[in-house]
Amino acid sequence: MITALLLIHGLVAAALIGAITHQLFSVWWPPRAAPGSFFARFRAVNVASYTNAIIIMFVIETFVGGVLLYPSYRVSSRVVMEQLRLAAPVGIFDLKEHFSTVALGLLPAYWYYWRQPLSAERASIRKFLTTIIAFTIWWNFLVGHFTNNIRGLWS
Amino acid sequence: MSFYRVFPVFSTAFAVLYLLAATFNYALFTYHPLLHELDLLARPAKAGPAMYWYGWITTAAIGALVVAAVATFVTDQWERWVQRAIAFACAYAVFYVIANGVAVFIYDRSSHELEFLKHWATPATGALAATVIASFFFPIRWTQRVWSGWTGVIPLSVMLVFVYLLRGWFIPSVGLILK
Repeated sequence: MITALLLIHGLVAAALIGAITHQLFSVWWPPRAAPGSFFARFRAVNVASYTNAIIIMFVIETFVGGVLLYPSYRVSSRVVMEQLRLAAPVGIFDLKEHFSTVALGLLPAYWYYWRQPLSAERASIRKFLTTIIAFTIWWNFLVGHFTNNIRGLWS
Repeated sequence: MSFYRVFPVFSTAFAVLYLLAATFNYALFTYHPLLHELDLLARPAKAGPAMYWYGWITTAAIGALVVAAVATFVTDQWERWVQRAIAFACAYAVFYVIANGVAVFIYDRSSHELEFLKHWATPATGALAATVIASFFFPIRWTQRVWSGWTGVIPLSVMLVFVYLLRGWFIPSVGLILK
């Protein structure tokens, strides 16, 4: 069951990373002309329409990770990591927990500033919030994989 | 203040309240994962570890909902006072960090026992004095309308505070890497 949940967690995380990275690139480097290159096309998608999908996927991720998987991590994996004195991995996973929560709380504001029609005067705050949420999603993804694979890393 | 403004207010308040809840362990309930039991408020571990995270989130969410609800009653004429209060609080937090750092620095290098430097009231008072002085120099545009950037700055600062609070987990590893 835990393995299946981890797989779902990983798959949704991959979709979430794709969506938020599109949005992040688009707000930082908006395409100015007809996109020609792959990189320009990557940025030229209609990123405002990704907002609700990102919010739903983030909430699913937090539910799967926080409610269904986290107790198992707390009872087994974390105890083992502490016994092995792997302090840094425990610390970065604690940061994942706190960053996720702050980003979860940011979702209402994120939705509000990405509401259609997009206001030009709110472009900066949109960029700011998207960056924080993108950073959190990437952090969670990398730390989650690192922690999941930690037994192999030190064997 | 329009109804839609509750969304950024909720997000900002949630970040601050979550930080307070996690730091001072204001969990609305405690979950014991091995026993599958829930206890009201923060309770020590029974068998296996106790989980407070769900309790912290609930505390912060309820608090942020209250703050957001109150914000709907704040009229435009109060907006500049809200902005001033937030600017004052943020400046105070920055000065507190600086004052605390200076106090610890002096205490560590002093040849005398300057115990008062270790007391919480010393940096708190110094930061308050510095903030009051600095507030006279705040640009006018800082005190007129509520700045939407707080919605990003405050949660980002909360994340940085968490990095600081959890530094004990990383410093030994960073030291090993630097060796």
